[in-house]
Amino acid sequence: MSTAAVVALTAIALVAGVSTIIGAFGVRFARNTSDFLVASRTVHPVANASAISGEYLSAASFLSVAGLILKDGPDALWYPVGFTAGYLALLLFVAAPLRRSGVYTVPDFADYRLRSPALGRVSAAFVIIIGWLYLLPQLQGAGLTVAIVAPGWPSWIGVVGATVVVVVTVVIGGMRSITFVQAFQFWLKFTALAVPAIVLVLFIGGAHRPLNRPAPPRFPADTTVAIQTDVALEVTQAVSFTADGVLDGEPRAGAVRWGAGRHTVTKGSSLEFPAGTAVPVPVGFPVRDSTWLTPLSGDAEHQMLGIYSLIIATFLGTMGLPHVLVRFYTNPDGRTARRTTVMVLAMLGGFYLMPAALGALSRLYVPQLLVSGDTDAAVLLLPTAVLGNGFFGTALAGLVTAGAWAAFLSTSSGLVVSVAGVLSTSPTLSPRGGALSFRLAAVLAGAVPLVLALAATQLDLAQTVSLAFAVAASTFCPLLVLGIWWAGLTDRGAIAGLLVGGVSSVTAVTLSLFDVAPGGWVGVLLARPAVVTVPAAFLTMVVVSGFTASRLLPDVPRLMLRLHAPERLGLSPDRVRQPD
Amino acid sequence: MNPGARRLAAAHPTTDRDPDAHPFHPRQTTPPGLEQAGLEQAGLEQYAPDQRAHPVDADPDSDVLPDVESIRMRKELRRRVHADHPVEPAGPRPPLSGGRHARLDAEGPVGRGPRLAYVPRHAVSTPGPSAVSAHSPTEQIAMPAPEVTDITETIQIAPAVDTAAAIDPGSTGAGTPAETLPPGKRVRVVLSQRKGAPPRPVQTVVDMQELTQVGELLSASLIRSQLNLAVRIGGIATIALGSLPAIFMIFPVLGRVEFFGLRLPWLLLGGLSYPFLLGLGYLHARSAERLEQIFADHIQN
Repeated sequence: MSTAAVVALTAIALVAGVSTIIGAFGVRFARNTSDFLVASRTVHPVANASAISGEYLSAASFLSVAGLILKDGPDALWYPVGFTAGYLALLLFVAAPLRRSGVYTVPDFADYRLRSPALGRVSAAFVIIIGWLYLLPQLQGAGLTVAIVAPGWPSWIGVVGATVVVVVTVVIGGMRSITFVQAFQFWLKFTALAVPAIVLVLFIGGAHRPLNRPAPPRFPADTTVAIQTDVALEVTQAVSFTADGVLDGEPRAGAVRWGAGRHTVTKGSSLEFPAGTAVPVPVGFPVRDSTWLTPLSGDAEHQMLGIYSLIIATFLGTMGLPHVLVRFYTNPDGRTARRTTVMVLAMLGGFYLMPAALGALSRLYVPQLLVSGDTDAAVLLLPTAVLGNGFFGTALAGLVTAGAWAAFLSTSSGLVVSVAGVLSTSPTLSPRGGALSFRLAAVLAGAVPLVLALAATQLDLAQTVSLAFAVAASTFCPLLVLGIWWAGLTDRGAIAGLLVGGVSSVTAVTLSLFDVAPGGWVGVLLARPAVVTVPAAFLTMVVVSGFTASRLLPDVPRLMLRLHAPERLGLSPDRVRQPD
Repeated sequence: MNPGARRLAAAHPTTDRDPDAHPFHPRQTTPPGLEQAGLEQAGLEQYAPDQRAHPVDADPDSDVLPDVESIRMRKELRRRVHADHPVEPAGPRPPLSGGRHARLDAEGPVGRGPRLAYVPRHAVSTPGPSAVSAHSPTEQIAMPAPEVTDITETIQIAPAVDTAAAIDPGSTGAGTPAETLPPGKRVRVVLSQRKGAPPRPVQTVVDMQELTQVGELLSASLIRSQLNLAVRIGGIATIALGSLPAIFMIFPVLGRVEFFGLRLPWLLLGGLSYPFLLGLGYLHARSAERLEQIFADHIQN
């Protein structure tokens, strides 16, 4: 095993160990169930904003944004912009009222606002679906990282390792400890991308090869690419290379010359490109660097539709993510909830500058990922590709690996806490409630996505994550926004809207996860369903509520007032007792 | 005159239209003469509503310490209030049999969730992470009053300081009244240190807690103004960001314009959109807080 692999694996072990230790340390403060779930509400706003950001910046943000930029250029920047803008929507429509309702999960909110056990069960089901859907790419990212930094290791080691660390941290610490873990992990992630980004930009300086060339990217050195999944590649300039495997449906071994056109490579093949060869690019993505620099490049169909649907999913989906909402309960009041969200906007904005810079650099230094399709690994490989396998390159690679691991752990633990919270407070699943069942639920919450991650095929992490956003935007966004701002919402309307938005988006998401979607605009809509399912859910809720207006609760005005009245009027009593 | 007192004045149910209509009061009226009544002294401004609320008190302070200053002030207040409001305003009232506390035991909301306990306005300090809650023992002094049978009832001593703290938005409310009071600046006027005469809650606070028609209108107008704010800011963000893909498609040349060596799409999406979102978020948090501040001041004063 190489030095770089040892350094990277040590970094992973350190992050996992430190997370567990902070978690165990925090357990000393946890006294009862509400401590476990809501961190006793004594978390400082800066720590809380760090924790929210730390929890939110997942494998998709840390690894996949740069990888998508490598492939797609500025169009991929809509992912980080949308991930950030989601917090603006959350701030505008949800943060303070949700805090004032005194509840911290969507099922509890549904129960508080509409007092319908059926609605509570439906929302609990969607919390679990969204949580598991979001956990899937986190665990896959952990597997990918281990497979990349330690060549020869199978990816399941990373998947299982991440699951075990997350579940153990949650089980021994609850959310109180998670808050500190998350805050620590945000700053770790920020450092782990900021330091390489700054060092690499300074190191390369003005000496980099120009990006604006009307030609495909070139291999900076002799490169061997192992093809893990079947790929279709586009070639504009004839390339010569050595191959061993199945190319264009024929078994080939030895020198190959590809003319301009489309070519396919079957998985298991190995291609060896000499330095300076033009890089074949996946079909549908911009081939020449000069077109890659411009928006809406590449010849994929219906790009505008896809971009707008992605914008809707990310803008509106953030407020429906269970691990984000639960975090807002650790604010003392609605005003602090708003201020915390503003701080989160600042932290995310600072963070997302880095993946953009690293993604652009990776076009120059690790273009071979375009061939293999593992563009998610761009950030991991960039330091050694630029600086070589010397001390600095290895150290920076270790730092990035640590940050990536922190990204999986933080998001996954937040999700496991949320899913376990719903599982353990659901009356059908655990009649007794209490801290013990929360721990059992945490194990269950981690086990199911573990199986899924080992079984399912892998998309780009950010794409899988945006599927979870689409489901959240189609279900909980309408429920929260209408529940908070519209007195006319009824329980029947909410259930109907949840089912319409949820079933349609989950169906679309499942079809694209299993890659059985057709082409054309239908395929785009199945991969990014929000543009249809979100309006459908809103419309259903409004229309059905209108037909069932007789079911409006008599004290809706009082509930609405509690959601919006400032705390100093003393109108919104907390559900959880203030710590004495 | 401080803004709180002005809003208080606007809350009196009389007929004159207030020119600078308050956003939270559905029927904007100003009492004739209260503004002109010369209640310039801060203490008087703050206690005027209480006195208005029960103008028919028997003289309860015959056996109280001979606090000449407070008696003088109260008599003056009562004279002025009687002159302005000879009749107690109509509207739902807490049952008199329960004392003058606004007790909701009898008619409080039936169902789940904690009941809305009556929180005297002076016992609620400014919100903040460490704000003293209404249940904090430091804020209440229990005085065994002969006619009060309910042991949980407490007489609220309403120090002028707390009111000042509640008005000042910058105050944290964490300290005790004595600490926050600049020495020598204000006189502690104890108006309510009388047997069985705790201060009456302000009508608007009762409106809120019992959600009378007035309370519902006030609440709906708060929600509407917050929603307007959120929709406006969300609209700015949506239009600014949402128009970008269309602009880049319609005017492809804009996608190749360079600033500082960066192409426009990279500069806008990769860099400038984050400070833009942060600015909008900051603007919203500040404006929403201000709306709440105005609302709470209006209710409490």
